[in-house]
Amino acid sequence: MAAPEGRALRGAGVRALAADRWFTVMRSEELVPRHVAQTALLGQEIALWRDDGGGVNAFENRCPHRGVRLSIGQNTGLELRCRYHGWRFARGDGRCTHIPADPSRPPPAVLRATVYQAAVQQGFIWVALSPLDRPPPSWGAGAPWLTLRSTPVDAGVERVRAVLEAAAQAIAHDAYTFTSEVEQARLTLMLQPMCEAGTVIHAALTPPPLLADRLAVLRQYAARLARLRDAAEAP
Amino acid sequence: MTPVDALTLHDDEHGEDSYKVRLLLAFLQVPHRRPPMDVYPGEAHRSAAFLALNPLGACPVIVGEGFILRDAHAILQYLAAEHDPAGLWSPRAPPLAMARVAMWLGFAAELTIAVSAARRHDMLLERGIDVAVARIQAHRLLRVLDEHLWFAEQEERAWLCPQEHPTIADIACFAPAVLCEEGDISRLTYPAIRRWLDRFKRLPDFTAMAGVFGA
Amino acid sequence: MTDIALPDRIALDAWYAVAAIDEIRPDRTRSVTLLGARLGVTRGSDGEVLVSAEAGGSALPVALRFGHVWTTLGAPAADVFAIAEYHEPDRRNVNAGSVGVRTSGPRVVENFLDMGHLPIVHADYLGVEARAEIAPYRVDVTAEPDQILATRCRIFQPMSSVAATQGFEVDYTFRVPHPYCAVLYKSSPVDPARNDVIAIFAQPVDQDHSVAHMLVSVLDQTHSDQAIRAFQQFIFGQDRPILENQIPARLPLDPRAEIPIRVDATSSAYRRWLRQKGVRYGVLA
Repeated sequence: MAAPEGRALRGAGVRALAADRWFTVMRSEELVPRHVAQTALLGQEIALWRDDGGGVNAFENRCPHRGVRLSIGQNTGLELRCRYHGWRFARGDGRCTHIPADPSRPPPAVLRATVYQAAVQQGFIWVALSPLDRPPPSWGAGAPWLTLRSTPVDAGVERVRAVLEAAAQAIAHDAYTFTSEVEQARLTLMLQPMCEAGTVIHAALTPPPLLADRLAVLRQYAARLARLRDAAEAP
Repeated sequence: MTPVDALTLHDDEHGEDSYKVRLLLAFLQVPHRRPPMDVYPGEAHRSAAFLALNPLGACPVIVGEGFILRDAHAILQYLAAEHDPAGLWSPRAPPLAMARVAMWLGFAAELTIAVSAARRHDMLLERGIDVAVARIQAHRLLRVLDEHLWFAEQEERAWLCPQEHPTIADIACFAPAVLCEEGDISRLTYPAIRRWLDRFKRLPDFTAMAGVFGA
Repeated sequence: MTDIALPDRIALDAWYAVAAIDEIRPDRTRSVTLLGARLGVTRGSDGEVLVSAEAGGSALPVALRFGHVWTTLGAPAADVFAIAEYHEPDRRNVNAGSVGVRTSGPRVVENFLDMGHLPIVHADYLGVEARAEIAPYRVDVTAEPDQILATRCRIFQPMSSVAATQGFEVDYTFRVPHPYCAVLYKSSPVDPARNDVIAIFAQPVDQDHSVAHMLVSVLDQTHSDQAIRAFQQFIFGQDRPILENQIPARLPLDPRAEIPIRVDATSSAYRRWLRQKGVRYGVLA
């Protein structure tokens, strides 16, 4: 973001109001193997990684040892290895499995990365900060859609919402989900509130265009969403 | 085979431009001498001896048999032309391929100016830098870079230019992009750049520097 | 981020390094920020160093120690702590640079005291992962002198300093004589009976930003100042991005906030020591 708010992202206060729901955080195909993605939700930073079994792991972006960001760590395929002391945290439950400075005994069970729920649905990765016993919503109703490039915006979610409602004639389905009809297609916009001054607009198009037109459509919508972004960022 | 002492590199261990040249020297396995330079706090780059090599007083500079070259991007072009017979790092044809590399070298120069200013302000406490302007400029450029790399991925391309092999354009952009967080320029909103940085770090003969984690 | 709390008495009444003496050009004023206060450091043509508050210009106490300019915003009870080795006639004393870091002073100090990261962050230099196990060591906290001392620390180092020609088991002693300073004594590769000394003096710019001033005091008659300095700058260059990726920037003193293991005995003692002293600047109570 152009204006970082200091070390811990601001926005945690809003978390209590919106913690018990799923949010889109990334297109699933972008979470490539042996990589750690960095994202945030309601002021909480998240280290996102795909293990070699294909599972998506969403860890609190903070090693429980000395608070170093796990997003600068290494994805070994089975664990996330913290860059400071080389501690390893297992996929799935985030349990610490290895401490180089004390390798002779298994790490205490209390040592673990905080794990958030993550799910893949309709080409997106969804994360919930509190445990939910329902799957992520299915906005496309299962019909094929084309996931578009996600647009980060240096503005809070309320501002982005206001721009979508005013400029885009978008219909709100809930506080974070909008649709608009564009040229015989439906554009679905899903907002990810990263922090007080940062939002990501995730988007998908139904029905998907012909394969030959795919790149042109992707560019067209990237430009369209960039204009919404510019409107939201305008002082 | 070039004799070991045929090339001498005068560089700044912590500078972005110097890192670019060290990266390509390692990728191409070009033998060279690298005498130590006390840039901070010794200010060796302002000494009379160094100004005789480069009147602009900036690193890196290479000295070869009968020539001196300054400017990191010029040095990258020279090293690729001289030491990469396959022409992978810097295509020699067609004109459009060469021009695309040049276009991204220009971009890299702007990104390096912005990132370098922010790093010098934050790390070396250098005065007279408008760091807020530098950071805004860096983010403006990184936003463009992220979108470009995202569309490259959509076409199953891994690098800045359409070739399958990375070019000196990638090297020139990699150095400032991988070091930008040292100047408080966060990569949080540039996921495509983050993936490209990892791909670059996995290249054979990739060399790190202080502040750069391996893949 | 606005700091509502002013620096507390403990923070105010301490001495702080604010610049390397050699970096203050004659007849020029260098602006530095200490505990949120802007100061001017001047070196007259007669060599005298003066420190004054920029707004109002009142002169502050100055001490020249270990190649650095030290000052205070309050009234310290004692002089700057001593480092006996600095004055040995065969020492090479090199100031290894003053580097800005986007974290608190206590985080800088705690990283300096940490051994578990040496084979990871400084792999192939100050440690190697195959020999990363740290044996138990001893930590003593004393009131007289008022300091923490960690002894009997050992680690295999492939390249412990620029003077090392081979890897060896290095003995480490850590000393914390000041809430924002630490001194390391490590076996010299040149004379195993004596120690090389590396010290870090953290200057709190504000609660979330510091300047790390580093002193290297070694027995090395072979290498240039530049080579000695370059090694230390390389090592610190590896630490800096770790420090800047620690959340929060201020050191949490609540023992439940971050989970130490046995190997972290020195840092656990350091956090307790800060808590007992009532240090509030750059920490989270």
